[in-house]
Amino acid sequence: MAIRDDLHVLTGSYALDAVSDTEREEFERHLHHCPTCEAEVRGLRETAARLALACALTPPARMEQQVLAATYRTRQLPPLPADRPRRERRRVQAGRILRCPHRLAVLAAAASVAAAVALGITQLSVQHQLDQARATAIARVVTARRPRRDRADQRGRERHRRHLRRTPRRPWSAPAAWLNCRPAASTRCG
Amino acid sequence: LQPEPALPPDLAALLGQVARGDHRAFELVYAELSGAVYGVVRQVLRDPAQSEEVAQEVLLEIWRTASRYDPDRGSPAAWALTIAHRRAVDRVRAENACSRREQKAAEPEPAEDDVAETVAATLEHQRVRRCMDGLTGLQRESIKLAYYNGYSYPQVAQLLGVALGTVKTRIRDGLIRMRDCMEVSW
Repeated sequence: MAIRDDLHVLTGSYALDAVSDTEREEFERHLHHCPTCEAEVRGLRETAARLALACALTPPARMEQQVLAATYRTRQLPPLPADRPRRERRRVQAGRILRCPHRLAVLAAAASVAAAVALGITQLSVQHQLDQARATAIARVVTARRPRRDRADQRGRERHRRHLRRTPRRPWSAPAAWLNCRPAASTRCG
Repeated sequence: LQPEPALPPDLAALLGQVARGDHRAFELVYAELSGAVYGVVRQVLRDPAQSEEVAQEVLLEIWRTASRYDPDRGSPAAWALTIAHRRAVDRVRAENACSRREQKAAEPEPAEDDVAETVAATLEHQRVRRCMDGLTGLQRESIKLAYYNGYSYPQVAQLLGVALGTVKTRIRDGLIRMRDCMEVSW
């Protein structure tokens, strides 16, 4: 479609800030749904950065002192809530997959491969259990005390599993969240 | 091939430290990026005093928003220089909105005094120049007018006397060619 092509062609102009504010907003909305455009923009942004690096100039010497002094008077923005971007990213990805029919096909193919693999594993494990049962039966014939010990082991393992189920999992994410914690009241700056 | 001298691998880590309020780390970030920030702002604005003011704003913005830098979305240099370029372009547009007397800025004449100030990023400079030479005339002019002069693509189209669609396409094609020629990774 013409509009879509038009937007896609805008990657270059967008990366060079050669678009109007309205176009920029429109294009950024488009970027959310177009991973191809997003990847292209990322590459072209890096390219634009090289254009800037190529024309680097030594700034006036006083500038450093002025900027460093200003940092002591300037409050920094807190990071964006850690879970939000991740959740958004996941939602966006889900959206992308659903929006693109060929992705859906790939997903379906992947699912069927996974199902086939799972089926194979199930069969293998059934086979394995049969083998084990046979081995146990043979062992029971060979030694009389062995099976009893096996059953005791089995009971012990079962008890341990129950114990694990009862014990709540340690919240491993908690220390990281605690380390990243920052003063909350900082919403005044834009 | 040589490793990137201007993009050291620890700049992202330094920004992490800056985000936690580390002034020493910011000094290192300043040393690494101030030349390119000032250079690109000056390239767009031309006026030294105004460029200095805007470059200061940009570097302080890097200090202020370091926690918002997302490595998934690009290199630290690209992040910082996007802020710098956009700030410069915004300044130009704000001025144009106030008074439409900017016709003389249309000629992309290289300022003579820039030579004395040129930083030792000559390797990058040579590479960009070499890759620019590989573009078609229209691609090169479109990119230069858009990036170094801060024109919007409709203004570029007007200056070059070509259709809007042509300029959009040439900017994109030219940049893609530049990206591949400079072996930019992203």
